[in-house]
Amino acid sequence: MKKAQEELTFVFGLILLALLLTLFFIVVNIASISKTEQRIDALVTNEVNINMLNYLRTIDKKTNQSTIDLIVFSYHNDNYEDLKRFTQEFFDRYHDKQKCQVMQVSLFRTSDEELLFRLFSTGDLVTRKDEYLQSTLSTLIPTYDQDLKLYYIEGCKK
Amino acid sequence: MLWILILKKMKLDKKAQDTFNLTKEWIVWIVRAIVFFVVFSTILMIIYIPAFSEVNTDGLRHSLLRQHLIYDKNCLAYENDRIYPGIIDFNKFNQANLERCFNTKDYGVEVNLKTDSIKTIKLNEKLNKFEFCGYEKGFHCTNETFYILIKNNEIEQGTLNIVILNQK
Repeated sequence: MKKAQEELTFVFGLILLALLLTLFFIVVNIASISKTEQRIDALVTNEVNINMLNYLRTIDKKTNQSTIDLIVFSYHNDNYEDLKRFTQEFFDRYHDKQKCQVMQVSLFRTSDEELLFRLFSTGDLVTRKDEYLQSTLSTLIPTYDQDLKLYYIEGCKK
Repeated sequence: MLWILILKKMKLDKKAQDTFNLTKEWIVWIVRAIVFFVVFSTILMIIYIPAFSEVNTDGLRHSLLRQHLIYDKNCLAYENDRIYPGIIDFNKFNQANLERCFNTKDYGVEVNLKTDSIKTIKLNEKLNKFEFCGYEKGFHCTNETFYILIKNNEIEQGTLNIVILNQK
Protein backbone atom coordinates (compact mmCIF):
# COMPACT_ATOMS: atom_id res chain seq x y z
CA MET A 1 0.00 0.00 0.00
CA LYS A 2 2.91 2.32 0.79
CA LYS A 3 4.33 1.68 -2.67
CA ALA A 4 0.98 2.55 -4.20
CA GLN A 5 0.96 5.85 -2.27
CA GLU A 6 4.48 6.66 -3.53
CA GLU A 7 3.44 5.96 -7.09
CA LEU A 8 0.37 8.12 -6.63
CA THR A 9 2.58 10.95 -5.36
CA PHE A 10 4.87 10.52 -8.38
CA VAL A 11 1.95 10.57 -10.84
CA PHE A 12 0.42 13.69 -9.27
CA GLY A 13 3.86 15.32 -9.24
CA LEU A 14 4.15 14.71 -12.97
CA ILE A 15 0.65 16.09 -13.60
CA LEU A 16 1.49 19.25 -11.60
CA LEU A 17 4.76 19.69 -13.48
CA ALA A 18 3.02 19.23 -16.86
CA LEU A 19 0.34 21.77 -15.90
CA LEU A 20 2.88 24.36 -14.81
CA LEU A 21 4.95 23.89 -17.98
CA THR A 22 1.83 24.20 -20.18
CA LEU A 23 0.76 27.40 -18.42
CA PHE A 24 4.30 28.77 -18.70
CA PHE A 25 4.40 28.20 -22.47
CA ILE A 26 0.93 29.72 -22.91
CA VAL A 27 2.06 32.88 -21.10
CA VAL A 28 5.30 33.08 -23.09
CA ASN A 29 3.37 32.71 -26.37
CA ILE A 30 0.80 35.35 -25.47
CA ALA A 31 3.56 37.72 -24.41
CA SER A 32 5.47 37.26 -27.68
CA ILE A 33 2.31 37.79 -29.78
CA SER A 34 1.75 41.05 -27.95
CA LYS A 35 4.94 42.46 -29.45
CA THR A 36 2.89 44.11 -32.17
CA GLU A 37 3.91 47.13 -34.14
CA GLN A 38 1.52 50.03 -33.95
CA ARG A 39 1.34 52.18 -37.04
CA ILE A 40 0.12 55.72 -37.13
CA ASP A 41 -2.05 56.41 -40.16
CA ALA A 42 -3.72 59.65 -39.14
CA LEU A 43 -1.38 61.87 -41.13
CA VAL A 44 -1.99 59.93 -44.34
CA THR A 45 -5.56 61.27 -44.38
CA ASN A 46 -4.09 64.72 -44.01
CA GLU A 47 -2.00 64.09 -47.13
CA VAL A 48 -5.08 63.05 -49.12
CA ASN A 49 -6.38 66.56 -48.39
CA ILE A 50 -3.89 67.87 -50.94
CA ASN A 51 -5.44 65.72 -53.64
CA MET A 52 -8.99 66.82 -52.86
CA LEU A 53 -7.97 70.45 -52.58
CA ASN A 54 -6.21 70.34 -55.94
CA TYR A 55 -9.10 68.45 -57.54
CA LEU A 56 -11.48 71.20 -56.43
CA ARG A 57 -9.36 74.06 -57.71
CA THR A 58 -8.22 72.59 -61.01
CA ILE A 59 -9.43 74.60 -63.95
CA ASP A 60 -11.26 72.66 -66.61
CA LYS A 61 -9.83 73.79 -69.93
CA LYS A 62 -13.02 73.11 -71.87
CA THR A 63 -15.37 75.17 -69.72
CA ASN A 64 -12.63 77.39 -68.25
CA GLN A 65 -14.09 76.89 -64.79
CA SER A 66 -12.61 75.54 -61.60
CA THR A 67 -14.12 72.29 -60.32
CA ILE A 68 -16.01 74.09 -57.55
CA ASP A 69 -17.57 76.48 -60.08
CA LEU A 70 -18.35 73.52 -62.29
CA ILE A 71 -20.12 71.76 -59.40
CA VAL A 72 -22.24 74.84 -58.62
CA PHE A 73 -22.99 75.36 -62.32
CA SER A 74 -23.93 71.69 -62.75
CA TYR A 75 -26.20 71.82 -59.72
CA HIS A 76 -28.11 74.83 -60.92
CA ASN A 77 -28.53 73.44 -64.42
CA ASP A 78 -29.15 69.93 -63.16
CA ASN A 79 -26.68 68.68 -65.74
CA TYR A 80 -23.59 66.86 -64.50
CA GLU A 81 -22.11 65.82 -67.85
CA ASP A 82 -19.20 68.27 -67.77
CA LEU A 83 -18.46 67.39 -64.15
CA LYS A 84 -18.52 63.71 -65.05
CA ARG A 85 -16.18 64.19 -68.01
CA PHE A 86 -13.79 66.34 -66.00
CA THR A 87 -13.77 63.94 -62.99
CA GLN A 88 -13.14 61.01 -65.32
CA GLU A 89 -10.15 62.91 -66.78
CA PHE A 90 -8.91 63.47 -63.24
CA PHE A 91 -9.19 59.73 -62.45
CA ASP A 92 -7.45 58.82 -65.71
CA ARG A 93 -4.61 61.18 -64.94
CA TYR A 94 -4.16 60.47 -61.26
CA HIS A 95 -5.59 57.06 -60.27
CA ASP A 96 -2.78 54.52 -59.78
CA LYS A 97 -4.80 51.34 -60.29
CA GLN A 98 -2.09 49.06 -58.94
CA LYS A 99 -2.04 50.88 -55.63
CA CYS A 100 -5.54 52.21 -55.12
CA GLN A 101 -8.50 49.85 -55.07
CA VAL A 102 -11.05 52.62 -55.30
CA MET A 103 -11.34 56.35 -55.88
CA GLN A 104 -14.69 58.02 -55.62
CA VAL A 105 -16.22 61.47 -55.82
CA SER A 106 -19.84 61.91 -54.77
CA LEU A 107 -22.04 64.92 -54.28
CA PHE A 108 -25.08 65.20 -52.01
CA ARG A 109 -27.69 67.86 -51.40
CA THR A 110 -27.60 68.75 -47.67
CA SER A 111 -31.32 69.51 -47.29
CA ASP A 112 -32.53 65.98 -48.04
CA GLU A 113 -29.21 64.17 -48.50
CA GLU A 114 -30.13 63.17 -52.02
CA LEU A 115 -27.32 61.87 -54.17
CA LEU A 116 -26.73 64.23 -57.08
CA PHE A 117 -23.59 62.88 -58.63
CA ARG A 118 -21.28 59.92 -58.13
CA LEU A 119 -18.34 58.67 -60.10
CA PHE A 120 -15.78 56.09 -59.10
CA SER A 121 -12.80 54.36 -60.53
CA THR A 122 -11.73 50.87 -59.48
CA GLY A 123 -8.29 49.36 -59.43
CA ASP A 124 -6.67 46.14 -58.24
CA LEU A 125 -8.24 44.36 -55.30
CA VAL A 126 -6.36 44.69 -52.03
CA THR A 127 -6.85 41.33 -50.36
CA ARG A 128 -5.23 41.92 -46.99
CA LYS A 129 -7.23 44.15 -44.67
CA ASP A 130 -4.16 45.42 -42.82
CA GLU A 131 -2.70 46.66 -46.12
CA TYR A 132 -5.73 48.77 -46.96
CA LEU A 133 -6.40 52.30 -45.80
CA GLN A 134 -9.50 54.19 -46.84
CA SER A 135 -9.44 57.95 -46.50
CA THR A 136 -12.82 59.65 -46.71
CA LEU A 137 -12.83 63.42 -46.85
CA SER A 138 -15.78 65.73 -47.16
CA THR A 139 -16.32 69.40 -47.75
CA LEU A 140 -19.27 71.74 -48.05
CA ILE A 141 -19.76 73.68 -51.25
CA PRO A 142 -22.05 76.69 -50.95
CA THR A 143 -24.55 77.42 -53.72
CA TYR A 144 -27.25 80.08 -54.05
CA ASP A 145 -29.93 78.10 -52.26
CA GLN A 146 -28.14 75.53 -50.10
CA ASP A 147 -24.85 73.79 -49.35
CA LEU A 148 -23.77 70.71 -51.22
CA LYS A 149 -21.66 68.06 -49.56
CA LEU A 150 -18.84 66.56 -51.57
CA TYR A 151 -17.22 63.28 -50.48
CA TYR A 152 -13.80 62.38 -51.77
CA ILE A 153 -12.67 58.78 -51.11
CA GLU A 154 -9.34 57.10 -51.75
CA GLY A 155 -8.93 53.45 -50.73
CA CYS A 156 -5.34 52.46 -51.30
CA LYS A 157 -2.61 50.11 -50.16
CA LYS A 158 -0.69 51.57 -47.25
CA MET B 1 -13.14 -15.19 13.50
CA LEU B 2 -15.62 -12.43 12.83
CA TRP B 3 -13.56 -10.07 14.95
CA ILE B 4 -10.48 -10.82 12.91
CA LEU B 5 -12.35 -10.07 9.69
CA ILE B 6 -13.74 -6.77 11.11
CA LEU B 7 -10.28 -5.71 12.25
CA LYS B 8 -8.76 -6.55 8.85
CA LYS B 9 -11.51 -4.57 7.11
CA MET B 10 -10.92 -1.59 9.41
CA LYS B 11 -7.17 -1.77 8.70
CA LEU B 12 -7.88 -1.81 4.98
CA ASP B 13 -10.34 1.12 5.31
CA LYS B 14 -7.70 3.14 7.16
CA LYS B 15 -5.17 2.60 4.36
CA ALA B 16 -7.78 3.51 1.75
CA GLN B 17 -8.60 6.62 3.76
CA ASP B 18 -4.88 7.57 3.82
CA THR B 19 -4.66 7.17 0.05
CA PHE B 20 -7.81 9.22 -0.38
CA ASN B 21 -6.42 11.98 1.85
CA LEU B 22 -3.18 12.00 -0.09
CA THR B 23 -5.04 12.28 -3.40
CA LYS B 24 -7.22 15.08 -2.02
CA GLU B 25 -4.16 16.92 -0.78
CA TRP B 26 -2.51 16.70 -4.19
CA ILE B 27 -5.60 17.93 -5.99
CA VAL B 28 -5.80 20.90 -3.62
CA TRP B 29 -2.15 21.65 -4.34
CA ILE B 30 -2.70 21.46 -8.11
CA VAL B 31 -5.60 23.91 -7.84
CA ARG B 32 -3.49 26.23 -5.66
CA ALA B 33 -0.61 26.06 -8.15
CA ILE B 34 -2.89 26.90 -11.09
CA VAL B 35 -4.46 29.84 -9.23
CA PHE B 36 -1.03 31.12 -8.23
CA PHE B 37 0.30 30.78 -11.75
CA VAL B 38 -2.71 32.50 -13.35
CA VAL B 39 -2.45 35.45 -10.92
CA PHE B 40 1.32 35.67 -11.30
CA SER B 41 1.22 35.50 -15.11
CA THR B 42 -1.59 38.10 -15.29
CA ILE B 43 0.51 40.53 -13.26
CA LEU B 44 3.54 39.71 -15.40
CA MET B 45 1.63 40.31 -18.64
CA ILE B 46 0.15 43.59 -17.41
CA ILE B 47 3.69 44.82 -16.85
CA TYR B 48 5.26 43.10 -19.85
CA ILE B 49 2.85 43.95 -22.70
CA PRO B 50 2.96 47.78 -22.51
CA ALA B 51 6.67 47.75 -21.73
CA PHE B 52 7.60 45.75 -24.82
CA SER B 53 5.05 46.83 -27.41
CA GLU B 54 6.65 48.69 -30.28
CA VAL B 55 5.34 51.83 -31.91
CA ASN B 56 6.58 52.04 -35.46
CA THR B 57 7.04 55.71 -36.29
CA ASP B 58 8.78 55.23 -39.65
CA GLY B 59 5.53 55.80 -41.58
CA LEU B 60 4.79 58.89 -39.50
CA ARG B 61 8.23 60.35 -40.16
CA HIS B 62 7.94 59.70 -43.88
CA SER B 63 4.55 61.41 -43.87
CA LEU B 64 5.99 64.45 -42.10
CA LEU B 65 8.92 64.61 -44.55
CA ARG B 66 6.56 64.47 -47.54
CA GLN B 67 4.44 67.25 -46.09
CA HIS B 68 7.59 69.25 -45.40
CA LEU B 69 8.54 68.92 -49.07
CA ILE B 70 5.11 69.98 -50.31
CA TYR B 71 4.03 72.64 -47.79
CA ASP B 72 7.28 74.41 -46.96
CA LYS B 73 8.03 77.56 -48.95
CA ASN B 74 11.74 76.71 -48.74
CA CYS B 75 11.04 73.40 -50.48
CA LEU B 76 8.43 73.20 -53.23
CA ALA B 77 5.42 75.27 -52.14
CA TYR B 78 4.48 78.12 -54.42
CA GLU B 79 4.58 81.53 -52.75
CA ASN B 80 3.11 84.76 -53.98
CA ASP B 81 2.32 87.06 -51.04
CA ARG B 82 1.10 83.92 -49.32
CA ILE B 83 1.89 80.21 -49.57
CA TYR B 84 -0.42 78.09 -51.72
CA PRO B 85 -0.45 74.60 -50.16
CA GLY B 86 -0.57 71.88 -52.80
CA ILE B 87 0.71 74.11 -55.59
CA ILE B 88 4.33 73.42 -56.56
CA ASP B 89 6.63 76.12 -57.83
CA PHE B 90 8.31 74.61 -60.88
CA ASN B 91 11.37 76.88 -60.42
CA LYS B 92 11.95 75.37 -56.98
CA PHE B 93 12.05 71.84 -58.36
CA ASN B 94 15.80 71.51 -58.73
CA GLN B 95 18.56 69.48 -57.08
CA ALA B 96 20.20 72.37 -55.22
CA ASN B 97 16.97 73.64 -53.67
CA LEU B 98 15.75 70.21 -52.59
CA GLU B 99 19.11 69.29 -51.06
CA ARG B 100 19.01 72.53 -49.11
CA CYS B 101 15.49 71.95 -47.77
CA PHE B 102 15.89 68.24 -47.18
CA ASN B 103 19.09 68.03 -45.18
CA THR B 104 18.72 64.70 -43.43
CA LYS B 105 21.29 61.96 -43.91
CA ASP B 106 19.06 59.14 -42.68
CA TYR B 107 16.68 59.02 -45.62
CA GLY B 108 17.04 58.28 -49.29
CA VAL B 109 14.52 60.17 -51.40
CA GLU B 110 13.43 60.07 -55.01
CA VAL B 111 11.02 62.74 -56.23
CA ASN B 112 9.31 62.38 -59.61
CA LEU B 113 7.37 65.27 -61.06
CA LYS B 114 5.14 64.16 -63.88
CA THR B 115 3.45 66.59 -66.21
CA ASP B 116 3.75 66.07 -69.96
CA SER B 117 7.28 64.92 -69.16
CA ILE B 118 8.87 63.31 -66.10
CA LYS B 119 11.53 65.08 -64.07
CA THR B 120 13.34 63.06 -61.39
CA ILE B 121 15.51 64.24 -58.51
CA LYS B 122 17.35 61.90 -56.14
CA LEU B 123 18.47 63.06 -52.72
CA ASN B 124 21.04 61.41 -50.48
CA GLU B 125 22.44 59.06 -53.14
CA LYS B 126 24.03 56.76 -50.54
CA LEU B 127 20.60 55.58 -49.40
CA ASN B 128 18.97 55.47 -52.82
CA LYS B 129 18.62 51.71 -52.86
CA PHE B 130 14.98 51.48 -53.80
CA GLU B 131 15.47 48.02 -55.30
CA PHE B 132 15.53 46.81 -51.67
CA CYS B 133 11.98 48.01 -51.04
CA GLY B 134 9.68 45.09 -50.45
CA TYR B 135 12.49 42.54 -50.30
CA GLU B 136 14.92 43.59 -47.58
CA LYS B 137 13.47 43.58 -44.07
CA GLY B 138 15.95 46.12 -42.73
CA PHE B 139 14.50 48.95 -44.81
CA HIS B 140 11.29 50.90 -44.51
CA CYS B 141 9.98 52.31 -47.78
CA THR B 142 7.00 54.42 -48.68
CA ASN B 143 5.83 55.40 -52.13
CA GLU B 144 3.14 58.08 -52.35
CA THR B 145 1.76 59.98 -55.30
CA PHE B 146 -0.06 63.28 -55.04
CA TYR B 147 -2.23 65.10 -57.48
CA ILE B 148 -0.74 68.57 -57.59
CA LEU B 149 -0.90 71.82 -59.48
CA ILE B 150 2.34 73.23 -60.83
CA LYS B 151 2.99 76.93 -61.19
CA ASN B 152 5.22 77.48 -64.19
CA ASN B 153 4.18 80.20 -66.57
CA GLU B 154 0.64 79.10 -65.98
CA ILE B 155 -0.96 76.56 -63.66
CA GLU B 156 -0.55 72.99 -64.94
CA GLN B 157 -1.85 69.69 -63.62
CA GLY B 158 0.54 66.93 -62.66
CA THR B 159 1.49 64.27 -60.18
CA LEU B 160 4.26 64.31 -57.64
CA ASN B 161 5.61 60.91 -56.65
CA ILE B 162 7.76 60.77 -53.51
CA VAL B 163 9.63 57.58 -52.59
CA ILE B 164 11.34 57.59 -49.20
CA LEU B 165 13.58 54.89 -47.77
CA ASN B 166 15.36 54.55 -44.47
CA GLN B 167 17.19 51.83 -42.59
CA LYS B 168 15.25 50.46 -39.60
